[in-house]
Amino acid sequence: MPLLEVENLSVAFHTRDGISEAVKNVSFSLEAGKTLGIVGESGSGKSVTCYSLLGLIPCPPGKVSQGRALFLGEDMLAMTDRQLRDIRGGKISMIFQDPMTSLTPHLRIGDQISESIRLHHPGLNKKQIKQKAIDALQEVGINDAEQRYNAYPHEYSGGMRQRVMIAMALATEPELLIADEPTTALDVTIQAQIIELLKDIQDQRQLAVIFITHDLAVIKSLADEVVVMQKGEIVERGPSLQVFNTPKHPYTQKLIAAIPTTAKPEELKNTINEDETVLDIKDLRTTYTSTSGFFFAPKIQYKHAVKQVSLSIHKGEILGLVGESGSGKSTLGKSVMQLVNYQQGEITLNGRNLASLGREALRHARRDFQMIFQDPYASLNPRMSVYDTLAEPLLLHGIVSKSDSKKLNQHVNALMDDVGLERRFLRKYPHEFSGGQRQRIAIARAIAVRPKLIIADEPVSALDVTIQAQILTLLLELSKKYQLTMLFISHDLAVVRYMCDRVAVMRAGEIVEQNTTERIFDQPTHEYTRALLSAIPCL
Amino acid sequence: MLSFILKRLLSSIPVIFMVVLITFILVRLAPGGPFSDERKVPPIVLENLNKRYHLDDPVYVQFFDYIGNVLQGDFGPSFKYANRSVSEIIYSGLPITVELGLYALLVAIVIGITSGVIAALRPNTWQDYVPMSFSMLGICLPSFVLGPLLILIFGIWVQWLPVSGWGDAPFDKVLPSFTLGAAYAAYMARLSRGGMLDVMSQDYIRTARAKGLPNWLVVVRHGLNSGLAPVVTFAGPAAAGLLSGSFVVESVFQIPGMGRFYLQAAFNRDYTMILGTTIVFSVLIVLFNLLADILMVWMNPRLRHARN
Repeated sequence: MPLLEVENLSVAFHTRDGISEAVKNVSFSLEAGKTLGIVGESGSGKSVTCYSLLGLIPCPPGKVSQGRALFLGEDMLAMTDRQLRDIRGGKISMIFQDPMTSLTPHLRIGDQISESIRLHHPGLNKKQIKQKAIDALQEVGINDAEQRYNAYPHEYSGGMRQRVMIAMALATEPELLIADEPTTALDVTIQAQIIELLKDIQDQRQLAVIFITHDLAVIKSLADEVVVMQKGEIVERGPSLQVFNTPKHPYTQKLIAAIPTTAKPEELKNTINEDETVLDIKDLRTTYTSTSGFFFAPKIQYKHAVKQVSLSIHKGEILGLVGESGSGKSTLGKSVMQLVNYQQGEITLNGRNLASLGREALRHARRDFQMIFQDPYASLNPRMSVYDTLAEPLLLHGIVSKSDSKKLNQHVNALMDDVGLERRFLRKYPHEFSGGQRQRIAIARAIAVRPKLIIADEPVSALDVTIQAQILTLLLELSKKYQLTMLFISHDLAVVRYMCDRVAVMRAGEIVEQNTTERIFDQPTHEYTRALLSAIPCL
Repeated sequence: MLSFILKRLLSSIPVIFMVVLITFILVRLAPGGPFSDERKVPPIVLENLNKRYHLDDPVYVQFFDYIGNVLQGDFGPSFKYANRSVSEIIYSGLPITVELGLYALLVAIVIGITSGVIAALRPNTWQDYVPMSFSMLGICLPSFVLGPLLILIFGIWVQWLPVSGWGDAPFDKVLPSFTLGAAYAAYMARLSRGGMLDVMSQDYIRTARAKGLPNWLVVVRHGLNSGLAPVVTFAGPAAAGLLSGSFVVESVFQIPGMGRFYLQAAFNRDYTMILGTTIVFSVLIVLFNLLADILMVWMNPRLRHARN
């Protein structure tokens, strides 16, 4: 008998706009000790499937409209809330995507773990519970677990918090672990560690795992079986290797093809003018200060986000800036944008030292450098229509005058054509668009004033893989069309390899290696670059 | 934490000093004086009165004399109540005002938070709409309307509660406390609803649910702390408002608190009385805001540790 058997599960959300079927007729089964991977893009219903098994979807508006879910022979969907609570967190545990927000901030780590144990092992006394919690922390590789028991979540890094989440899930001795995108929010080297940890624990405990992810490469090395979901339905299933090596369904093929594995194709390469330097950074140092302590004896703390960084970008070139979170790559971008104060160094754009400009001159100079941000949901003003968003920089920098509405319309329409959006969308507002469409709007806004330099800070990391591929292609096409020069900041090495002509690897505020993309990927010289490259899971 | 409290206490000294200075100047700028009455006082009497109360000294001398006395705990004689000192009057009225304020705060917290949290847990149902409608009403109704209304209903029609007084008859503190607290309960209901709605959609609430915790434990242990943060921020200024805003309720219910003296002192140009009550109220206001800030820091481990 399988440990978990889901039959014809359908889940619908009843909203004001009508009924939307999030999960349609989903069936799968899982043996004890095995790993099932559920793969799909956002909105495919992969999380809703698992949440509805445990009664974790909000009802209303959510409702399981049909199906059975037999866990150890009993139908979880027919259970009362009381019965389900015994299984939830006990025999079936969960870990979630974002370890930074998934732990209660005002409770100690140890208390949060003990809480689960107390709930599901009512026979234990206080001392035994604490011991069990400490054991769990040790099992996930947290040293000095006894002291760390009393720490608060904010005292841990992201990777450590995810370990705590895993410890919390394992402390109740579950038979099934549901992991919902557990490594998506983590750096690539941390991701590799967490996956290794999950594999070890699974081997030792004979634990069954459902691994939900959008990342095909991660799942390939982990899962025994894979199901691929699209729009609430399972479109393909089978043993992991079979699905990845010989995908049958067109959607699976599309997903796999969307992952960048090579450098950009020749026809999308820009001609680089080595003689013309667009951006030149010399000995840049950006330090954040924070003051604490008593006011007549202040303790000033310095955080050197960027120390002694020099780099330059030539006309038509795309320079990739790679690093893990906290490496200072975004601070570097913000320094170039003159959005943070830097203490030392020179940033020269087209021969002009930006720091020497006055307020008004800097405002005019901003026409030459524009930025594309990571989160297209947050970086567009929700109260401005697409038209206003695109028209604003044109009017602001005097490219078109306000009275000449015909010319303004032409410009805005041309921008929409450039980024592949229909002109009739111009009167719509950001919330009416999908993530990919919003990022297109953000790109249109950035190129509206024909800047000399574009700084793209993780422009595709919030997007699904198929959308990501489209946006990357769009960026390459535009950069060829308009001879754009770009500083491309990303943590995703595969994306950087595809996009960039040259790569700089950043760690702890310093650039440890800088070379052509080919050299970086084929013959990395610095050990950190090698570590990064070996941590990437590959298809 | 200790250094944070010390820092805040020290920084409240200039605040209170400024309040005293501005009040001192303002009352003297207001037309009329303590002894200008409808009946003309003979000039010689006026001169003697001014001399007795040192009102013929230069203003800055008066100010520093006054500050000196206050630092020794002496608020001076009342200009209106010839034989009583301001300290005596405050001493008799303040405990009643503080007691009324605290009861009202209790009413506000208990009713406000409970109904706000319940509303947040069942958004867009009748459990949400009913308390939120009442809270809108509570915000709109001023206490001089609500007070007489409650007296009419509970004191005169059904005769469950006494219509006035303080500590004379059993349960006579209920109506004034409720009247004073109602508007604050209404605000707190809205704030806690908003805060809880926000928190209940957080990832860590989902984690708590996934542990198999019963719903009430999810709310109480994992939700309330952050969900009530806006209420705590509001509670400081609210407590201050409850204390200094009590004069209406004290008048409606004939309560011998300090609020009435405060109001009368302003009409009478009773300089020392105005200053004395202002100082006491401003100290209380600063104190309650400080308490709210401390509570805020204490509830958030991130802040608690950062300040250490």
